[in-house]
Order: sequence, then C-alpha cells, then structure tokens
Amino acid sequence: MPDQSAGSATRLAVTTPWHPTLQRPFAGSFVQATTAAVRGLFDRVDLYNTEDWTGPADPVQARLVGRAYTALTSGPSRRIAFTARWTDEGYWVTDIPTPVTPKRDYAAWAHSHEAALAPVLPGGRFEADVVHGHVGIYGGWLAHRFARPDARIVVTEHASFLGRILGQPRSRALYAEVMDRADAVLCVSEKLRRELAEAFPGHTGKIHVVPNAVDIETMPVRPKPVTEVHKWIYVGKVAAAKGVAELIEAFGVAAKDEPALRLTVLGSGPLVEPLRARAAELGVADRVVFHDAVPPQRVFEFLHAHDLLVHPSKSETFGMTTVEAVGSGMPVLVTRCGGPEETLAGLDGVAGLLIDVSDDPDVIVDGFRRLARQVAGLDPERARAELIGRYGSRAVARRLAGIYGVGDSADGDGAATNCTPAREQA
Amino acid sequence: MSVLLLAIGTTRARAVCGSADFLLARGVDVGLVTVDAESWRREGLDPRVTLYTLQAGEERHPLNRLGRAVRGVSAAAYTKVFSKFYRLLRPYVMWRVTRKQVVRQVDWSAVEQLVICDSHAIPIGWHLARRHPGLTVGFELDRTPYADREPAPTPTTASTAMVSTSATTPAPALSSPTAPSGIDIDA
Repeated sequence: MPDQSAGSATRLAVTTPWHPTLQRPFAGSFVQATTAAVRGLFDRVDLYNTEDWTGPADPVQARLVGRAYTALTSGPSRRIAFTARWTDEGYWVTDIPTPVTPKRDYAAWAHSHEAALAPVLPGGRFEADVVHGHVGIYGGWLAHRFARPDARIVVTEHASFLGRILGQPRSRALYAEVMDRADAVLCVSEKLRRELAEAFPGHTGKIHVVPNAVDIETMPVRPKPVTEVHKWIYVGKVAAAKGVAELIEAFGVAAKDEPALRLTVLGSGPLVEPLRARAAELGVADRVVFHDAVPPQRVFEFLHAHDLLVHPSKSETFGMTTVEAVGSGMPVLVTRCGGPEETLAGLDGVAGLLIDVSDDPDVIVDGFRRLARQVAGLDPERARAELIGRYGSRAVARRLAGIYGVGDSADGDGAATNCTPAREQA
Repeated sequence: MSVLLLAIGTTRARAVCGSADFLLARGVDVGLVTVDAESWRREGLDPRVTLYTLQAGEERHPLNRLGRAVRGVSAAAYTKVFSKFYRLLRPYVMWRVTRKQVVRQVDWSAVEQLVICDSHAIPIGWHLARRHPGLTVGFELDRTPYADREPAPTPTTASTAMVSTSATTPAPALSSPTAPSGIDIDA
C-alpha cells in the first residue's frame, strides 16, 4: 500500500456513480477494470464513488434528509468523515453515499452528487493532474466542477439512458458545460458516439470511441472446446428489454425437436416468475432453470458448465456478458443490438453468430439451428485473441495513456508507447 | 460491545445483512432499528440481530390515532388531506417513537458504532448522533476494529430477538420504503 500522503507526484482522480460496493457488488465492474488498468500510469489514483441512496419523494422530507446529511458530513461539528480505503485493484476508493430523490431528474441528481462530494475533497477540489469522470451527467459534471483549472478532464459515457439525459433541458444544459470543459469525451460504443455527436456537433473532434477495459487475459478459458450446443445460458437482468421473454418462447420451439436442450437463466428481475410460469405452459419447466445472480467471479463456473450464451437483448451500449463469454471460449448467439456488432466486428461466424433484433422468437430459433450446424467451424481461440487486442487491459491502458497525456507504463514492461487519441471502431 | 444499524426500509438490505453477518461471525452483538420486522425476515437478516421496530409505536402515536378516526369518518378525507399532512410529519413522529422506545432500550455504553444504512434513516441518525457525542457514526460499517478476529461458524438455529411493542395490524399509510430507484445502473 503506497503512502497516502504522497506529495506532488502525478495523480489521477476518478469520479463515478458506479463502482462495486457491499450493496451493489456488480455495479461498475467496468469502471473498476478500467481504473485498475491505468493505475500504473500514475503515482497515485483516487476513485470517488458517489453512490446514490434513494430517499423520500416528498420534497419536505427530502429537504430534512438533506439537512441532516449536511449536518453529519460537513461543518465544524460534523460527525462523519469519509476516508479512502486501499483496494486490491491498486488504488484508493472513497465511497460517498449520496441521498437522491426517486424522481428521475438528472440535473437534480447531478447537483445532489456535487453537494455530497464537495465536503469530501480537501481544499474543495480534486488535487489531480488528470480527472476522469464516468457518465457525463454525474462523473463528468463532478470533474468539471471540482478539477483544477490546469487539470486534464476526460469523460467516459457508458449510459444506455443517455437519450433521456439529453431529453431533459436542464440536464442537457449541464451536459453542454461538461462538453465545453472536457479535453476528451470517450464513448464505449459507436452508437453512443453518434448520439453524443448529434447532440453536440461543435465538439465532435473531442469525442472518441474507447471501450471499457475488460480483463480478458485473466478470464479462465473453458477446459474443453464446445462441440455441441445443447446447454444454453442467458446471463443478465431478467427484463423485457433484454429479450428474455422471446428467449423462453424460442427455447420452447427449439426444445420440441431437440430433447437434449437445456436452458439456464442466470439473473434476477421482474420477469422471473412470469417466465417461469410461461416455461411451464410451454411444457419445458423441467428443462429451464432460473438461478439468482451470482458474483462476477462465479459467472465463469456457469459459462463453463454450458455450451452456448444466448443474448437476445433489444439494446446494449457494450455487451459485457458477450465479451466475457467469448473471452472464456464459449460460442455466442447474440443480437445486433448496438454494442455486440461492434465488439464482435469481424467475428460473426468465428465467435458465434449475430442475429437481428426481433420480437419474433423464430429469429432466435433459426440462429440456433444455423449455429448448431457450423459449431465445428468456430474458432474460439482467434475470437478471444481478437478481443484481448481490442479490450484487454493493456490495450485499453495504452489508448488511455495517450488520451491522458501521460507515459504508458501500465504493463510495467516499457514496451508500449503513447497513443494519440483516435476515433476508432471499438 | 455492539453495533447499532439504522435502516428504515430495505432498499439497502444486502449491505445491512452483509454487515450483520460480518459482525455476528466475530462475536459482536448487532441491533437494527427499523420500521417492521417482517420485511427483514424476507430479506434473510440473521435472526440473531436484535430488532428495534418502530411500527407499533408509530401506530400508537396520537397523530396516527387521529388518522384512523379521520378514515373512519371519510376515507376520501383521509387520503386527500390527512395522509398528505401526515407525510410531512412522519420524520418527526419516527424520531419521537425512536426516542421514547429505542433510546431507552439500547445499552448505549456498549454501542461502539452507529451505522446509518439508508437515506430515510439519516434524520434519525443525526438525532442519535447529537444525543451521543462520543459515539462513532458512519454510513458504512467500519470493519477495522474487527478485522483481526477469526470468524466463527454460523449456528444452524437461532431464535429471533425482538425488542418491540407487539406488532399489530399495519396501517396502510405506514409502509416502509422498499422500492429501489435512483440512478440507472443499466450502463
């Protein structure tokens, strides 16, 4: 653990509303991986996690909560001091609970995060040479408000709800300020880049596609390659937007002809019970297992125990599950829902198959049957190597080093060089 | 020694249950101040946690008795007028109940930490912090004092410890906040 009082060395401050906590152990694992990937570029890295704590909707009650929070956390008689903790990933984290109201008002939430962070920062600002804010309206706004005037600000946009943020005039105005101040704005997919460039055409020159780092290098590869695709698995939220209802229907159709087919739905969400009932109606209840979400490190146990990841989502900005499956050597059947056609660009027929987004379950059934015929022709090793080159920690760290304007020593071997920011295909 | 957790609803149940498990495994007594016990049973809270529930005391409060009287006369008046009025006063009522019941039941000399576990609990947490100026208060459990202790195996059976006035039929307007909301996490 480095000396916490390190002096004038190069520093990175990261501010994010998403990072794993005891309450949300799966939130922001991509922020964690990206920050860990660049820790070697700086003498000290501090991450500020402003986690939302949803409070009363009633304005009077919300004001009472706000006042009590302020009294507890600031002023001469404050009772709660936030201290940074050292993490296994090699950087400091300060978790800052942020009371927010349930009303979906992004500007109000941004200001809540600002109010919560202000008393935490010594001197009222980030003492860092580079400030990286995750999610424009939250981390980006905080970077803009608290960075030193001479600090470089980098913002990463991940939010699948970017359209809703830009649809509210107040939050759009805050976002415009962030765009003005930021030195570089990174989008995790081309889809998000287009959306942002359309909203802020004057800033297209600073908007780049740089994916989240994914630690593919350390992902356990399945012991034996897949030769038949009988055991399907879905991993993620069990919600309508993920296409899980169509998956159950498709499985019901495919299972009629294939007695060996099995399906595991790994995750939680509002559709678990309705889909359990639907599976019973389709006569496949004994062949479909619903399993609660598991910690990220346990996901690979499930992937290795199955033959095929089916991911029929309607929209994804990146598609982490797909990358994890391919990284572990597993074939995938995934929709062209935004992120996956970018992450698997050039790998259709190599890592698995891409299918169209559709409400028709037959699209999934047809994709499965085509994949079953050509599974022997897939090349999981090549697919994994391609993804490491695109999203691996070292690859992303090298690109971020150029954007941060610092030398790349992330991999410790001195082999990498500075990269210029580039608007590249992820 | 003991740690007192404060959570009005179950929006952060995973963190509360995780903290309780950590402490109990290390021989630390845990208390939880909350509205009702049943929702915590559903969340899987260890039954060895001493629950200080506020629901029964809230129902006995004069304002609530007034609310029931209003509802008996006119359901519309209760919904359109009284419930809105009561919503504003509820934090005050909750603190009164806490002060009259919990503050007297807890052995404060043994409490090492007060952990405010959700947003709705912040006002009560502030009141308790003011009453006990020497008490360590936080939004997360400080695990440092217990980090060196070996966790003990979890017993297979235990009875629920509950310090409360007996639970009665819950009033419709007194539900605890449980619906998660806030910033989207579907990045």
